[in-house]
Amino acid sequence: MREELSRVCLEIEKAITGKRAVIEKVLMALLAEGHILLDDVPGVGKTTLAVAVSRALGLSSRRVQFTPDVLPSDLTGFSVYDRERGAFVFQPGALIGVNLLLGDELNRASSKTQSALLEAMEERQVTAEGTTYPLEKPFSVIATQNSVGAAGTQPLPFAQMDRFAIRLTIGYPDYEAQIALLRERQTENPLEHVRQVLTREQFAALQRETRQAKAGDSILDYITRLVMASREHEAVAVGISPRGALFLDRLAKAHALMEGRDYVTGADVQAVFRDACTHRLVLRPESGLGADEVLAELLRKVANPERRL
Amino acid sequence: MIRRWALWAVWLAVAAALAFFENGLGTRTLLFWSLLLPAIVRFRASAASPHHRAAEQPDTRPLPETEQASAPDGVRAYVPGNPIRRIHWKLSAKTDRLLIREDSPSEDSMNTEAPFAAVSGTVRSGKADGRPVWLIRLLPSMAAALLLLAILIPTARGGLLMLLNGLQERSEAVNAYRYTRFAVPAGQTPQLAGGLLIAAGALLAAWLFLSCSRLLAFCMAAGVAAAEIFLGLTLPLWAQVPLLGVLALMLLPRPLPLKRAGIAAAGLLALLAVLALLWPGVDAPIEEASEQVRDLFARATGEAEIAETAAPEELTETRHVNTRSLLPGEEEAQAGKTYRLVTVEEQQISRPQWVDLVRILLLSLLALAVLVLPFVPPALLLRRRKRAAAEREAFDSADCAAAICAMFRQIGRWLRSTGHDAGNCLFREWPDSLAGSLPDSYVSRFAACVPLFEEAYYSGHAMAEAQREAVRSLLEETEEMLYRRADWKKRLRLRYVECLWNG
Repeated sequence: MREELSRVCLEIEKAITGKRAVIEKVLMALLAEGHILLDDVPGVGKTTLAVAVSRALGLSSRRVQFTPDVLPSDLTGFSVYDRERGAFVFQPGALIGVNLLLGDELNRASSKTQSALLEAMEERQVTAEGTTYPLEKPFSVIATQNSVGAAGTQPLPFAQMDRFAIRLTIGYPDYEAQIALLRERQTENPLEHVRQVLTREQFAALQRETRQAKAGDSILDYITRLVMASREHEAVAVGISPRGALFLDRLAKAHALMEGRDYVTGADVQAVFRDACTHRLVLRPESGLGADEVLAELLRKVANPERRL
Repeated sequence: MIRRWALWAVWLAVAAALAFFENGLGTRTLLFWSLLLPAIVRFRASAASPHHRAAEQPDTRPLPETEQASAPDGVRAYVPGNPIRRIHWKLSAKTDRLLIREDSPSEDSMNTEAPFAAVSGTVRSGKADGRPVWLIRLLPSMAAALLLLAILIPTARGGLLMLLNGLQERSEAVNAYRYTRFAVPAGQTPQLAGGLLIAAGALLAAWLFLSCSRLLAFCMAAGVAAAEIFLGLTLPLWAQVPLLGVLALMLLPRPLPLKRAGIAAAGLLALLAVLALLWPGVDAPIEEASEQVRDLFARATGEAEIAETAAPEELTETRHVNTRSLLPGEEEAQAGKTYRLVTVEEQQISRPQWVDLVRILLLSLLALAVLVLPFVPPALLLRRRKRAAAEREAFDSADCAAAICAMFRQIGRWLRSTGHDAGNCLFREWPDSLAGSLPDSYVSRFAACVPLFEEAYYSGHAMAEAQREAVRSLLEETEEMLYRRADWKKRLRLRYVECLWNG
């Protein structure tokens, strides 16, 4: 693993104990310039994770707690009349000037707010009152969504889920991690011990490096075959989108970079395939298969690039 | 598995040859035995006695602590239903209880008789998953009693003999056999005997179905076949077809390997179709003409005989009276001449030319095949040899990365061809699946070379000469080790088919 990235992981682990795999996946998605959807029960440390990540990477972060009352203009910005100046002054929204936006309970927001955010995620710019404001670079959204207590929520449509590079669940800590967590929090908040490891520029450079990693023809072929096989699978109503294939490629590159390589191998694709694609499949309910099973079957059935050597 | 099917193929060929060159009997032999043979060959395993011996005292208890400790790895207690082949006889003899070798994936495909073993095992232990055991035991004795009654009761016996006579009559209509009929007292009717026989048959059929025994079905089928082949007793078609159909159904392995059964059935059908096409059949006009000629011949020789026997009595008189009669020597000559004429004529009539042509064609094709076949494998090998040589050239190519890829392809092919196929796995996952079957030192070397391969294959970096040599030494070790571990058949294949040492 790359030395600086492993230091980042260690730093974040101070705040979130025993979730190394999730931390690595979050880093991977950020390196791939993707957005992250955390799908989990409340209180497992989604916010802590996001804050720790932003601190360790030297990124600015902001948090929006979504409720049905949050309006699109709260995200993009709006103008108010300044009496002293006698003119309208633009008040930038939550999206502007921030590297990492933590959107809590995105599924509680009204659909128009959701679409405003998702548009900003895609375009990486917002338009408010006729003026276009580019967002900070790097910009990523970590959105959370609670699976319990779904009353009064607006579940994200599949088309919008597709815009997230990766969907993760953190899950409850195991016994030791739970004990350690309780012990650490007896006196102080470990979040304050998370030191900055990288500067924002260094992280942006890493993102550029990720983009430049080499994915050979065999890898592109493999990704294409995986994606097309998912569309032809009999349990799948809607398969992996071309955007999904794109993210699969980028995430595989990020995975390679984290392992200290500048080229993608078949193992990278396989490692990220499940996380990158579970939320992109619409299954036929009558087949009785879960998305994970379908993806595992695809990995089993589609000949890997080394098999076709 | 291959040997069984090869055996069957050889048998089919023999039967086909018989059917072709010999009239009548061969076709039926072919029909029966080609149906039965796959089942018979399977029997060697499932009907072998050791299994029954083992199943009589089912021992499902786990091994006691001490014995479990002393038993080597990969051995566990035998449970009824386990395949017989896996029983570790040596250890079983030592520990005085049946032990069985643990499953290894390569043997799983052989495990076809397990469901049956389970069934027969439970029959013996009296459970038989819902089937009434007492009924299964009672049925054959009831059938035997009915048959005995049919023989003992005088009226029934008369009927039985009538039925047998009828069967013989039917058989004579089909076969060349002639039977002496049984003497039947007057005024007998076959109803009682027929009823008893049908009842006994129904009981036997019920027994067959309830006991699910292939051995039983096989014995019955063999009995029917023997009566047909050796006694010439041909059941009427309406009885024969369902009977053989049911028996064949019982003989099929369960669960039925549909694909293989389909292939076998298709092959059989094709063979029968070819036979039906080639078979000249009975041409009624020709037969009639032949019959007439035969009559003519019989009459001619008969006249000569009559003349001969009549001669001594009225020798002089007849000679004088019958001026047309011939001298004895001349008569013989005449008879011989007629015989020759008739034979020639009959041969010409009964053997249409096109059958000869087809036979000659087939025989010459066969001869051609026999002549050509020995040269086919080398010709095929030559192509593979050339391809292998071309691939080996790549090992020395100027591009080290390409060479490493080619060598890894070869290593993968080697491992696959010697039964170490890891399926659709990346090379970095291979060490896990190789770890059980190959030495650890080799597996760790393999694992060490995988990153080299990945870099060569995926990165497009220029690779160093030292890295090429590292992979080459791995390839050489792979070849040497696998060759050493292979049995003679694999060695032959590796040496000549994979073309390892093409110097």
